Amino acid sequence: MKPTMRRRALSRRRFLAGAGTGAVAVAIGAQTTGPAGAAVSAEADGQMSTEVVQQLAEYADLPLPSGTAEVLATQLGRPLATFRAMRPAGYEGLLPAVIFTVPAGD
Amino acid sequence: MEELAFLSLREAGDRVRQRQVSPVELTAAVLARTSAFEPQVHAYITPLLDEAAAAARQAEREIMSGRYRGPLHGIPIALKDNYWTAGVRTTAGAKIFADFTPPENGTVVARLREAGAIFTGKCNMHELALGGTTVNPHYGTTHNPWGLDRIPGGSSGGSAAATAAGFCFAATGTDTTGSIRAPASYCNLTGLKPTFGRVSIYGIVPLSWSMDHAGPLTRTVEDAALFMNAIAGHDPKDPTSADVPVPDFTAGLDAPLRGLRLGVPRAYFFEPLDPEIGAAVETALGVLRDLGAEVEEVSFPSGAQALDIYPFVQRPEAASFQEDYIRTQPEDYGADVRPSVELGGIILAVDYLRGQRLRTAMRQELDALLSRVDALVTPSTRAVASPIGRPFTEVGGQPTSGTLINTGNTVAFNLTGSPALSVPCGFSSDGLPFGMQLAGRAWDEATLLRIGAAYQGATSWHEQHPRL
Repeated sequence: MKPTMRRRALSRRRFLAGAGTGAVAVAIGAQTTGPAGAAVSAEADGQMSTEVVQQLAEYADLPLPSGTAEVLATQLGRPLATFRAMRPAGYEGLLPAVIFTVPAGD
Repeated sequence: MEELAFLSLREAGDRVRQRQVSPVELTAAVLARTSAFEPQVHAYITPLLDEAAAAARQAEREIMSGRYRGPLHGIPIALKDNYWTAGVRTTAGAKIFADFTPPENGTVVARLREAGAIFTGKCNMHELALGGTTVNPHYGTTHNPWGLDRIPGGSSGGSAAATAAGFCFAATGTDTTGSIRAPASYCNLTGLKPTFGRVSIYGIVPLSWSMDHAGPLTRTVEDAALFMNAIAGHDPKDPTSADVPVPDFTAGLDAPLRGLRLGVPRAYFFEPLDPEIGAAVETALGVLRDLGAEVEEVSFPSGAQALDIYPFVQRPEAASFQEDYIRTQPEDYGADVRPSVELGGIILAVDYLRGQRLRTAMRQELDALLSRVDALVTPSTRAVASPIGRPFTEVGGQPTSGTLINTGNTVAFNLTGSPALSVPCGFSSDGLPFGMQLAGRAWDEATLLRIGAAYQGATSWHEQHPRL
């Protein structure tokens, strides 16, 4: 079979299974072997692997040029870990700042 | 001519109203400066010099025939190039929009035109408003009139440079993380980011729907108030526009500050900080005390997290708007902007929503804080404008980033939607300006304008103009 640049099969259900817990990356990592899986396990420590970013980009249908995945992994890894660690008091009850509304008169 | 070009908008408007000067003379004054100095400053992507001259003649005819529209009538104003202008290309500083000519004016542009403003051109900006330097790979670099080797800030860098250089009397900007206030700080201008929903963003090329704000860059606080009177108010075309009462923003500008309580959140907002800016803000706080305000230390911990939160809101929204373009024309993006959009494309929805939930917490904390004080006072930026192509990597002896310097103090108020104003508050030893930020309660721009006007009444930083 010829190699392809198209994304590998990754079901949306599986992709979203652990979203928000850091387990998303594990779900992706499970599709791969070797370095990606190893790096994924380090994501909670603020590291994100190039392979994970590449797969996220493929899932998003974004054609990343050579070298970009590495840049994005660096940009995203530690900030994501910091961001996900934020849990102010009362977080469970917080509504998102942008919610759907029906304009009066409709 | 130079004297005319550096009048405040209010002074120019007064002279037009009293028929001491005509719109044609005002426009000639700013166009003369544009012709002389635009090659050095490069404030514009699309100058509209002939159109401005024609509009000035039209305004003159209207005024002479008794059809005076108000303080902006016959006043030359520049537009950031993400504001839709009917029949005039609107690039948003992006190659992907190089040939985009809007079919209609955006709401702010329409309101300015209705007020009789004369448009001098479409200003350069950081590509797609996604950056703070206005070093634009497609349309060139805008230079700071206060130091041509320096950035004017961004993303509204062309608007700030044009106003500071005397190419216009005021300009429109947009502010998603600080893009009005940082350029105002770097170019010795007054910049107001109104409350989210106060000024329509209909007909403005979006960066981030829930964080984008439209507002003015002016020479004085009074000018900002006059500008707001023309552009503020509910717009049915914009679902984020709020149907709330709109005050006369010039009313109360001369009210005393006695009894006002100002909070100073030193933790994070003053560290790291250029020591010259720190000293100037302390002096400014002394001026505000002398004017009758009470100044107290406060804490705004979630504001310190804003830089960690905003990318998870702004980037996905940008990627959503850019979705088709980034897939089909990725090579048409600049080297710094493309990865930012791509990053937004791979952030999970659940993280985006976490960001939106954290904004709620931040707003609740700020609301509680602003029930005890009337406004917060911080430096607008952590340093002066950096050399073009050589961003600062440290401030006050501490390693830092351009993002922290430019937007570390501003972005929290984009996430909360609160109004925030930057006013000039000093110059560095090498002659570069910087500003002080005032942030306040939602829908209460008036208090910020009142504080800013009192401060400008007691100082003269805002009266300084660059020598080109």
